[in-house]
Amino acid sequence: MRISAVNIFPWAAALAVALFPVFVPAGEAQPDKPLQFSAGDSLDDLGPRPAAKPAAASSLPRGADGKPDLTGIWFAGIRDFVTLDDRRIEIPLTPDYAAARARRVQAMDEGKPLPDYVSTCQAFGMPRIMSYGVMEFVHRPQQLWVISEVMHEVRRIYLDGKPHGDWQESTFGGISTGRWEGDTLVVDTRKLRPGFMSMTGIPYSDHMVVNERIRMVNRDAIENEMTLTDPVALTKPWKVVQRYGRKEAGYEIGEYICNEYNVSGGSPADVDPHKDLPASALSSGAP
Amino acid sequence: MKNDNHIWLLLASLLCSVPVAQAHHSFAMFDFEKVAQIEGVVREMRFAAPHVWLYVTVNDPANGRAVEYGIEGAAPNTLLRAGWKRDSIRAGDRVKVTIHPLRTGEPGGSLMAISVNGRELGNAP
Repeated sequence: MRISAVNIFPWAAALAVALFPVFVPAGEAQPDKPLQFSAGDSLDDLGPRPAAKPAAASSLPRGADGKPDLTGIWFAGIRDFVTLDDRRIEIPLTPDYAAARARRVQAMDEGKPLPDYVSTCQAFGMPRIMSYGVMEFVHRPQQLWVISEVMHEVRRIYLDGKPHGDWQESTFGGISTGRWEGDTLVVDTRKLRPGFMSMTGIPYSDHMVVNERIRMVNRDAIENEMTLTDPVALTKPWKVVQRYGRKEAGYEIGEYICNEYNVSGGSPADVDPHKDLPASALSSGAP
Repeated sequence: MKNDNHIWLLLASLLCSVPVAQAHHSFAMFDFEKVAQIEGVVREMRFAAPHVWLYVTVNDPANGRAVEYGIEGAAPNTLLRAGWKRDSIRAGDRVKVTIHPLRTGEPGGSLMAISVNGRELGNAP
């Protein structure tokens, strides 16, 4: 039967929508308190934006190493990598990759979104993990751990100045190593698998390198200026400013076993970078 | 649907602020321009990650036949934080559900609002 044949109560529907004006289907809700950015530095705006104005360095919480202590539970605002809205952003994709994305956007418009690594409960990977929902930062002088609630994914950023991941092949999250430049944590991530960095399917290759400049704007706000460099997927480096607001005291991360009952996100077997991405996405070449 | 419903659907979509489709997968299979309300009896509630699913048996007023709707809601953690319990909805409960219907016209949708045995249950804030 068609849904239009269902008993529809127009008044009730209008009223219900008025009572529930913002629907957040999943993942995480909006932050519960206003975020501490300066005027014009919204957590939710989209596209290119200026850097936030930082508070006095002396007002930031600091760890044993004297560096700003990023430990806490944070909510990723700004949805450049996440929502359907990223269509409004101009992304410097090369023609093959623009076409790969257009195929996914078209599928979405037809109501049949194609599965990706996140919808199939595999992993966010980089850079998508840094743009989604609630995450806990556990900051120690030797490592910064980013723990996402939604996929139970842990990202390790090595801060010890040593080389890491030599033995590893390309992974969803790659290998992240960071160093401090003053109060700014500068992180490079390499050895990434190719994939899609957003729900609308912004594609990238395994050549991509992600550079992050992470700094506390004030006690309750972090800004992450990400520069994505991908010589085959992007015509030039693409810069995205991601922001995080601290969750209120007492906020806790919950368990989230994504594959408990994933009936609408597709199967991992349906995600094939050889099929979904241009051949140049894999250094090993065409399948 | 009848033509005179269109104005109310339009009003509903105008009242609805831009949906914040922050989910672990795209909700493009649902038509966010449309709002429908169904009434029926819960066959099963799957309170599970990544998103809860509610299966409701609805009698089609046109022919009296029972049709099952599959309705996808928010993540369990999001709903728990909004005050839900795992057993807030149980098999046998009578529910009125406001949904964004599936684009395909099949019986299903994404959960917007729900009342259970006459009591409103808050959705994700």
